[in-house]
Amino acid sequence: MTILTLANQKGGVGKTTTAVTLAHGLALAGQHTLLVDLDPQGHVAFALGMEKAPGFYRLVVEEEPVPSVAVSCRENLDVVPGDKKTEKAKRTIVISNFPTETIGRVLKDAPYDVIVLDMAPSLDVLHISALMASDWVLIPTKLDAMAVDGVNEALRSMGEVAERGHRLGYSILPTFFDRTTRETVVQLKALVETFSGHVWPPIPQDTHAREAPAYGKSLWEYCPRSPAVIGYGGGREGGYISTMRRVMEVLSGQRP
Amino acid sequence: MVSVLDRKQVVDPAVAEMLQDLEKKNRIAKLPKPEQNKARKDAARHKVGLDLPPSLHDVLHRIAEKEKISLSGLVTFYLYRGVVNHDANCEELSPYKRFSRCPRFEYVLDFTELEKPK
Repeated sequence: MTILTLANQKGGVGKTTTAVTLAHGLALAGQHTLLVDLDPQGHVAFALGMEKAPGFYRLVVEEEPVPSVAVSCRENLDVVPGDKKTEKAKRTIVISNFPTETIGRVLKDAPYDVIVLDMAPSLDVLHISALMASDWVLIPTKLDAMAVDGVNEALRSMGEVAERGHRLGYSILPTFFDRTTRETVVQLKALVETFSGHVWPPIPQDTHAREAPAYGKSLWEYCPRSPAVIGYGGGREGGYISTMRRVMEVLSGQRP
Repeated sequence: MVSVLDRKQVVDPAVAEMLQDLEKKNRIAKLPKPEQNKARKDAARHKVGLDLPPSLHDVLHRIAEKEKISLSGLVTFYLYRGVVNHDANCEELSPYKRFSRCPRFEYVLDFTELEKPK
């Protein structure tokens, strides 16, 4: 079992869209996948056309096992939904023994090939606990100064986790990529200069990605030929297809 | 076998290619308006400038005139043939490689042998 986490303390950078797209993509690729919503906004369920529910709360506070909490939503894809009760679960974790190990403990024996954790845009015990449980972190970021600063913060948290003896692999996924604006290009160059091979091909800005959740569909269902999925075309890499290819390499151990 | 002098690709190749494209577009955008269209067309045609030894240029020019084809077409033809040969025999460049002093490239190609009349 591999645990992938989507993290960036900056909000609105495409964490949930990426989590939903990758989780469903992995499921379509035959991986038995669990998507866990750690955000009290509960938008994972919304994006997949389900009701928000206190799944994470039941998992952590009521200590129910994963199979009784997870909701099957597509072939090969189960979801632990979230809602505002996730906030209460967080308070329970804070006062528990070994709070940073909670997520690893509750997911330990979950019968899945891959677990995708969609984090809230915050920097708290849930964040550290999720990182402690993870094998790989994907950091989506918009290409603006504040979001890129969020990347630095996410990496600082990972440094904190590394000090506790847990080293994590990571990649940075530029999202909302608009090749026509100078600031986008400047920030992409800065990211590549700083993080070189950790930067993956960007996801183009695409209205379809905003529309899909309104219909409760993943991008693979709603618009599989859109720029967000296939990139700008012309033989160039980019979009979630490229991201999926790299995630599969991570899962198969081809990416260190 | 990988040589110890092979430069490692650190940046994701797709990202590097995208940055190159963006930089090219940026360069074109900075040109005066009348030159932008020409530069865009050249970029789309993958027009490149080559440093050819004058003797080779003369020979190519002569062949192109004799065959009644464009110099560009002739060079493209020979490049295709060279690429096919290279795919079949990756070591064919080795006898001509010399270490470069330029920081951008590790080797330069030395054409002295090829320039000698046969």
